[in-house]
Amino acid sequence: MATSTKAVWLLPTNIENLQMMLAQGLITDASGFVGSYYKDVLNECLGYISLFKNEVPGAALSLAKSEDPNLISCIIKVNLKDIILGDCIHTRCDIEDSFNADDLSPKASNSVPIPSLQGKKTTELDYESILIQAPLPLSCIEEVIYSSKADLDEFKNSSENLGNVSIKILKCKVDKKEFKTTVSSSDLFHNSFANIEHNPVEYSKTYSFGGLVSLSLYFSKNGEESARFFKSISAFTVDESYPLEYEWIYEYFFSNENDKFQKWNAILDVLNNNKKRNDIEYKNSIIEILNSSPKTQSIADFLTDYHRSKIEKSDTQIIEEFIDDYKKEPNKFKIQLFLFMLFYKDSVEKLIKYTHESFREEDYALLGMLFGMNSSFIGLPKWLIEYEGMHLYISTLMANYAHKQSNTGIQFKEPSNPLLLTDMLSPKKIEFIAWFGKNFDTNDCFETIIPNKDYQSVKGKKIYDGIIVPEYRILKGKFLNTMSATVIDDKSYSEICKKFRGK
Amino acid sequence: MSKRIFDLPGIDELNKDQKAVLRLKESGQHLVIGGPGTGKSVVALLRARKFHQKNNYLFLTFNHVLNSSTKQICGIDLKSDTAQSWFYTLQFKLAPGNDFDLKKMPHKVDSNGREIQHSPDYDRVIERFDSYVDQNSSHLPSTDTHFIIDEGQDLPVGFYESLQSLGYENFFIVADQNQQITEENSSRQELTDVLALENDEVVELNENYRNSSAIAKFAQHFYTDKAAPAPNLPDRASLDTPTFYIYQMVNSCVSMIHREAMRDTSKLIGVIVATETKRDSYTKFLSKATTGDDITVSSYSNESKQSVNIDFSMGGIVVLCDKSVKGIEFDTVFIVLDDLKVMNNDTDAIKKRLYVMSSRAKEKLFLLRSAAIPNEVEELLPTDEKLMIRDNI
Repeated sequence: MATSTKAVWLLPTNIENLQMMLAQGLITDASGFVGSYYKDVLNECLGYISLFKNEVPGAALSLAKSEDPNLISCIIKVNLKDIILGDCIHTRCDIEDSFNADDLSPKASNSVPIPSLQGKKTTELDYESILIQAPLPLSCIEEVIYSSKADLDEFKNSSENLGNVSIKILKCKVDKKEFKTTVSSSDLFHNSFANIEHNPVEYSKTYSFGGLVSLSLYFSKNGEESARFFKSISAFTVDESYPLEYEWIYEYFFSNENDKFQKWNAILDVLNNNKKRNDIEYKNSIIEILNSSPKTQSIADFLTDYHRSKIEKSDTQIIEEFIDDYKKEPNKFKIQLFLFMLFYKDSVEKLIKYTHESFREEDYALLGMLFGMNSSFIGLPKWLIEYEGMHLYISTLMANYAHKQSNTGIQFKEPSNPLLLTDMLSPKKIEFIAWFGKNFDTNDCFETIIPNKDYQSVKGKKIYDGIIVPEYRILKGKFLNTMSATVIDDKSYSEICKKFRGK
Repeated sequence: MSKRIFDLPGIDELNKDQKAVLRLKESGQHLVIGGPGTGKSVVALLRARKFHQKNNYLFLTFNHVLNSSTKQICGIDLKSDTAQSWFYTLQFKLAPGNDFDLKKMPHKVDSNGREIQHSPDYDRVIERFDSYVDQNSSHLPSTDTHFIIDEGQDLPVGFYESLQSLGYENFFIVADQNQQITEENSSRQELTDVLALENDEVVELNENYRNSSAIAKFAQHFYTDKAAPAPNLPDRASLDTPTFYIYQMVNSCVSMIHREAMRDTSKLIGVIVATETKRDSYTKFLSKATTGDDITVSSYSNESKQSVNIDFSMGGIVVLCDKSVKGIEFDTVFIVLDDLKVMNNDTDAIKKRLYVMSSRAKEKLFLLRSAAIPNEVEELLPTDEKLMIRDNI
């Protein structure tokens, strides 16, 4: 690339690592990979993402294929414009006094504010690579470069055959030249960069948070209360009016003082740590926790017998009994119902399809949070990830959560909030509401209010002077009953958004 | 009843060995070896999906039930067939003109000189195929087909050699030597040799993909391959540790199976029995118990010669004899031990059957035995409570 042009930042990897990044929702160093990771530069400086200026060294490209020659390399062009706060380390190692003499760690003078790199020309930067503390959101991927059309096709085809790799957000191109490197150094970085200090990221909690917020966004379709939960959790806030169970989940993610719910936090630990899907292990771990205290042993016995098909009552009957119980004590912590649901419906998709006439709006919303947490972002169905704007929105939210929790000082620009159904159904959007009522069979979930004005009755018709604008109101109970039984997939959601925008 | 389809695996659900299989070159000969639940069929299906657009592949299975199940749940219009019926048709079509003798498959003969049904004499088939190639017959098929063969150990070496004699050279075979259920089969070494592979070119899948670890360990209890290392015992009893119920009344079993199906109508419940008589009776009992519910009870007999009428793309209850369940997976399996007998002191044969039956279960496994009929097969079951829980209903 011409040296007088703007500097571009490149991350060489292979398509399998790229697919994993898309599935987990974040660009991370090797330690943040959820499944199998293939060696590349993300393993060179632990905790950091290494980016090369303008050209990728041959050694970095070779490293990306070092585990298997059949791996296909690719280069991610990284855009730094969404990083609004934070520093990176430049890796120039030929400057005198760049390293501390005692431990050879890079000096603070090696730090550069990331926003200051924005728009810099190649000639203005006298270093060849930078290290940014992981993770980065997927919005930092400007485009992905492949060395041949065959490689790009293989990437597309293999992604199509994976249940959780969505490539819709990617811009891809073929450019063989990018792979013909002139930088031949065999050492990618000075030894001192291998173990530079970094603030460890709690990846498990970050991915759980991503799953939780995604499901919270999905269930916001059920009504205003669910939408309020989503808005709060995605803004990292809590409100005193919220139910105990929300507080329990919120404190787990945002507070270290969990005394109030300490007894039950072990359950959230299980949901957080169990990242293998379709795994009985979370159920086993829950039983183990419940068995460890005489007070909860009876719950463990019940769930064990239920799992082994020994309970003769029907599932609906069991849930009715829990709900009757909670009606008698409205402020009771609904842990038993939630545990039962985690045993009864063991996947996000099954919860999404489940409806119970006695469930309240908050029950769906809170269960969604627990199930989302258990599945984690990578366990979400592809159609949900492909909700308009969801992939990038949740990725940025996870990245900001990770950096906030580990105090790295890095912050990313938040993408605009996804459109929520209840916001779209504002009383003034008459045409949209009418369309929604007709197309989603929800006419009886609304009522129409005609302003109290004088009219004349002509042949049975009410004639008003001037323009009368009626108002529509959601009938909350009916709306919840209908919407909780309606699965809004990515295509329906896109259709709704499109109609709302008037396109 | 709810729809069930082949869930495409998530990238995090595939291990490095499976991913390496998916990266294998499109052309050439490949052999993938692995035990039940290691994802052999998953990688085979993913490979078929890869070739699907180009339409230059054929997915072959050993039995009709597996072919039917694979076709229904794979999510694409899979080009598949059972190996033997496809092979008989190929042989028929290649024979020139109306020469009945040539159109008829040559069969092996027993010591009395009688033809053995369904047992092609591959040496004679190869002779014929060679002559067609020499004559450059106009019937010769295009040889660019990529064969993807599931349960490849159940087909004899002659089958592969016959295809090679016609010039076919793209084979992707998945196999498990410990699941051989046919008289004529191929060992790992024979498959390696027939594909002209070096031993280190054979890909091994070792990690269990299908079953929960408790079920996988239970199945391994019946592993007859003496050369294989003994399985590690689980550290603790797990919720999905298989349960062996001794029942007083068959109704209790039927109710339990019914309950399990009602709990989640998208799940496929397999009831595996040893004989046709038991298959008939359980099909009747369960059909009666589920009348009026949204649950289908279906069954199929290998002996009926009819096409498979089970809808594997929907949840429900399927009653099958153990000989028909190879390669099929169920969410929950009930194995009815009644009528399963050790013949001629051949406990290895029963172990192999139990191995295949129990490894069909993905999530839950129950074994059922009547209290009134003691069964010597029970002695082969594990005694360790970590491997199997005993209970009464």
